Amino acid sequence: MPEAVLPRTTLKTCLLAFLAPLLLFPLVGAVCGDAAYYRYLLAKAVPSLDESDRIKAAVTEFNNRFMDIYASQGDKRGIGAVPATVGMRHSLVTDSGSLWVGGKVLVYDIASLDFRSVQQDGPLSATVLVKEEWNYQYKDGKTYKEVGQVHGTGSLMRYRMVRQGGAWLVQKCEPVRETAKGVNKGD
Amino acid sequence: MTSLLSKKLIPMVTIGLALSLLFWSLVLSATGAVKPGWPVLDLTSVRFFGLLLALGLLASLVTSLLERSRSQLCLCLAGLFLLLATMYAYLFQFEGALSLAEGESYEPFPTSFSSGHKGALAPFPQVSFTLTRVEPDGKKGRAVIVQKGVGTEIDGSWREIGSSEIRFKGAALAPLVVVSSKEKGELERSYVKADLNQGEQVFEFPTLPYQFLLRQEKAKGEGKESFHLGVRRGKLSLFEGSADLGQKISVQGVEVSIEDRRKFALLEIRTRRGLVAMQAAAALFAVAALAAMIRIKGGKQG
Repeated sequence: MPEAVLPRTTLKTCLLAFLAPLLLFPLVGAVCGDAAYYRYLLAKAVPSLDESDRIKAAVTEFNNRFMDIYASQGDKRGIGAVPATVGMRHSLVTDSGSLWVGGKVLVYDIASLDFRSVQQDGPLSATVLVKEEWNYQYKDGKTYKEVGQVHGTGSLMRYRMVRQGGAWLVQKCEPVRETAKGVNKGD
Repeated sequence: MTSLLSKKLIPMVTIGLALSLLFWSLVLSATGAVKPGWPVLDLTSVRFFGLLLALGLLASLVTSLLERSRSQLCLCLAGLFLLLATMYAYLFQFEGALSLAEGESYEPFPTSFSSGHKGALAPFPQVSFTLTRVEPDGKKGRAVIVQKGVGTEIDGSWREIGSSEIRFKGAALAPLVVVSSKEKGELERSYVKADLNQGEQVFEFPTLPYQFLLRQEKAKGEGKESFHLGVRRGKLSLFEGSADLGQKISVQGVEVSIEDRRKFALLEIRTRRGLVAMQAAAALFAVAALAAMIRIKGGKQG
């Protein structure tokens, strides 16, 4: 080996020894279950890679499934497909179940979901504000005949989202007051 | 040349591992991907690189023994000590936030804490105390806890309690919410630890399909406390209006009332083990690194 090449080879080896762990770190993370963290870092650098669309899709899917549970007379067979945490699914079952016991079924229909903001608070959590408009009507649980008129309701809702097993799930859904200045603090 | 490279390769890769661990931990914390402090060690990739670093240090230790390099040996030993002390402190650390109402006792269970961070081997703080007063005699930022019959005043600074530490974070007001129906009687009677001083609070009970929104309204007159109550079910608003203390509000076949209010304290408890050993290891490592640098510089000049 020519003598002039020796220092260059040593330098290359040194650089490789330092740079390889640095570059391998996020790759190892992606393989061993920390992908969400490095994806979050990447989205900070490249805004087009953020997960807003996936989060919005989860909220829309949640509301579609929510509608289905009520429209199917409280049939809870599809509850496993609702993109929500176990606690949230439990509250859906409690609500639709107690309606069924009361002999009535509440039928909801989405009029509009207007996404006001999607904010990713961290790699595993996000907050979504949605202005929702719904139509609803009570139906008899046995005959499925309409009870009363179709009504409309609207409210601003805040969804707390968590990322579990690679999917975005609704953890909490609560109403928010809208003021002229914006959203009320402490709501 | 090949021999020189192989001798230096292991320490160089070890330094590379340590630097990448440090770099990515800083990047993850600085960007808010993980909270600063111990949570960074919850990541599998960080733990994996920590393990590789320990193996690298062990291999470097062996090469330093073979080469009889005293400075490298000291540095490796100090590095291993630092790594072990950090692992010990991480596994046994505990930090948790909880709320206790006046007269309530602390119980060392996971459900006692609303948030926190617990090392894999750390037990929940094994202390027993009862919170007796929140802001006694109007003293803001203080609370009184009683341990084995002895009262202690706590404030915003950490105070030792058994092998843990406790501090007072703030005081809040919890309303007593009662929900009842004519057929089934009382369905729910609970103090809701939702701080009304922080504006409107949203809460629900696991047994009821309702969501409650509650905020305190400005006092109308002497001795008459009033609240603004909202009751929701699913997407529907069932009630929205004022509710005086003790007044029963009829909502869809049930009655809701706010019957009382109770002070509660927001507290923080932490257990830190092996922190002194970790600090000593860090100081030892810094000294060993400094000594090695001086030795290398001296060797080059000589």
